[in-house]
Amino acid sequence: MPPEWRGAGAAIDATGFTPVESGKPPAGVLIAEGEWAGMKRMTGGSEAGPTGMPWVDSNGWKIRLLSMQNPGQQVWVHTKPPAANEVIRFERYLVGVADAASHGGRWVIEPDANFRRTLAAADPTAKKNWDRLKAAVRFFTERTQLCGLPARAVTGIVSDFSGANEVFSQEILNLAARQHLPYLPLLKTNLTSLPAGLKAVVYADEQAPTAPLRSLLLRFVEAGGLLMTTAAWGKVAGPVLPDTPTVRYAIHTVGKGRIAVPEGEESGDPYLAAADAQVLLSHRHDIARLWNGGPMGMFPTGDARRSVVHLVNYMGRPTADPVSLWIQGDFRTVTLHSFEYSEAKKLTIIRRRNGAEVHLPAIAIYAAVEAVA
Amino acid sequence: MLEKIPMSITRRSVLSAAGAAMFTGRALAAPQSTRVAVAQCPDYGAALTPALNGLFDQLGGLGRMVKGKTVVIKVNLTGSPTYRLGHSPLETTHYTHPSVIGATVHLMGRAGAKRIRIVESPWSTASPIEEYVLQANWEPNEILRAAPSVEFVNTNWGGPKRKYSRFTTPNGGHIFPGFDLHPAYEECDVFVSLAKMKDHVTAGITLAMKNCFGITPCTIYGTGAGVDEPSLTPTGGRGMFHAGDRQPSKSAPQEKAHSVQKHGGARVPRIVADIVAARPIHLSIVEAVDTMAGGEGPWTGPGLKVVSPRLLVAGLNPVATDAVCMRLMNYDPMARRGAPPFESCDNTLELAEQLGVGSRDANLIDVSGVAIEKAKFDFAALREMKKKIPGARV
Repeated sequence: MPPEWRGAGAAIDATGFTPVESGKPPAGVLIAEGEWAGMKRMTGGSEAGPTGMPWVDSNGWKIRLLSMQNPGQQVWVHTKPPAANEVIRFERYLVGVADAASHGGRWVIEPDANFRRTLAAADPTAKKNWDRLKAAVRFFTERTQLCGLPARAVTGIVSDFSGANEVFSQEILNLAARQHLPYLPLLKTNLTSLPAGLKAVVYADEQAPTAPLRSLLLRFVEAGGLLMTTAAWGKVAGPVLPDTPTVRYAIHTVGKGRIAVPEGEESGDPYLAAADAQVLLSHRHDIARLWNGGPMGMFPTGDARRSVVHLVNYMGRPTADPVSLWIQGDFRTVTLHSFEYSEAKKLTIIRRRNGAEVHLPAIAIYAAVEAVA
Repeated sequence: MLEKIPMSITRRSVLSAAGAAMFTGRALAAPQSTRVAVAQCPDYGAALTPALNGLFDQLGGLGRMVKGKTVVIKVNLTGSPTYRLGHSPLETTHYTHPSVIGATVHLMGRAGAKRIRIVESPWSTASPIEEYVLQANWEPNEILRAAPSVEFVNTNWGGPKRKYSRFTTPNGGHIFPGFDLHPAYEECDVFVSLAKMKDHVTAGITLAMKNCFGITPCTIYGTGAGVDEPSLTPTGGRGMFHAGDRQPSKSAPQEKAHSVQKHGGARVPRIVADIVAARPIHLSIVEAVDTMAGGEGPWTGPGLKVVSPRLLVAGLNPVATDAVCMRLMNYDPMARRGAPPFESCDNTLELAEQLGVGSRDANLIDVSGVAIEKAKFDFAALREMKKKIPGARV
């Protein structure tokens, strides 16, 4: 706990909070440095990312990666408070809490200078915001069964996520999430089998895979999977498909599956790699689809019997247009949970294609949509 | 006589543009038949295919038109597939409905079409159309399996080899003397515009002709188009068509030197007229079983409405077909700039008429099927209501 925050001690209610001394994480907890989750703001509006999508910062990929690298430990993310002259909208705190919780982690709340000062002075707005923050944290601590489900993924990203591969592989994780491509990070150094349900694997490293890893990935392809790889994979024996859905890859058929290898010079652009992975895999394997979500993050968890889709609105305010969500699977009930509503809402199911479509109420920050077969 | 010149865009081909003229292909022309057929259809279910078939029969039958031919069908998939008007599926508001596409494909296959290609230049992507429509929650296989030899073609680029075909605008056109388009528009015996009936905030209305605005590749005409040659993949929309703020890639025909129009309401209708004159439409089909009023997509609000006119319209001449559609919308196809729905734009039909594409004169159009007065759906009244909404664009 920062010393200057102690003045706000009277306002701190233990419910839902775990006080943390700087640099002293509780047992079983790994604290990583992260970003202020949310839409990046620039003078005159939001900053655009590639293809004009708004630029979103999220700690979700880091929590998933560290959880995978450190089994048995809970991952918390700490974000440095903003500079004294930087104004942070209060909703960014709620987004930070929701972003981490949606990925099975927690966000270490360290109020900015203005928040600390106004809270210590018992400012009514600060107090109200503090209560909202408490309610959000309590929402997640009381619903571990909602946030503790494993990620529902169709794509695995294989890398050592370190050294020369660190930036590219980690950015693919980040941008796969941004494109609503359900993914899992897979550490290549101890990968002996692939999780069930994967349709595609991206091999992201500059070095050729070891013989056992190559063999594992080839078995996946021969059984019908898609492997998208870097040039490090080397020559592929299978015939090349005449038409490819992306200009940057040649597609070889191997067994029942496909291997996509870069054609010509590698772009080295993780955004393009994530976009190509989505196209090569095909939206046919979507687990969920979102309409009018804008900068909303969508993180499916669970399985075909009980699926929880976490929605984080990085904008911090409701979207201009109403949001619809489709979840693949045959579900009997769909329920919306959010700290923005006093109680869970049963949603009307519209059966479309092989899934359930629901129309969502306004979501400023977060909702979990739970579908049960 | 209209000409099209097959060519692959390279630096060398630009230098030898004059020489390219000798590769003149066969002549193209919009049919001058003034017959336009109108039907009412309650929904996109079982009544749809017979209703469409009835329209085609009134035009002389599909067999005569497509047997043994390669048919290219331009559909309307404007805007992102993840952007809806409210909660309404895109096909019930601003996308051509997949059931109408499927039924049309099926009937053309049954009539003996040799090959059917469904084309569109979707927003800012060179990805397969199948991927685009999956995001809208469509099942592309339902369309692909509706007849033999059916495929989707993304015409927003020239493929990895950047191949384009050149189409020249008769009489030089209003703004563009020609266009470089995806070769699918050349490798085509019958070109069909399968459009949605909608208002349009820039052009007043969007029907069979305006649908063809989207045949232009954004590698040449888009925000991220290459300056000298087409970019490999497309990015952005066709801002240059609206604003005239830049020229297409230099490898393509440039705007006429005297073209000084910088206002979308003047430019877009002229460019649409140029496009349909350069790449004539042989069959126009406009659907409005369900559609939207007030604009062409959810981004054109406020004041938009989901409506169910329950209409299907088909004709051989696009100007005549659009004119009948306008009358069905309770608009006057003879209206000039300033009158609804052309309050702030010029009349595309009039501009196409000036290029010899067809006639909008009701006295020269033979309407068959359901009478216009009986089938009319009052878009005009909804437009007047929209005008009263603060911030509404018309």
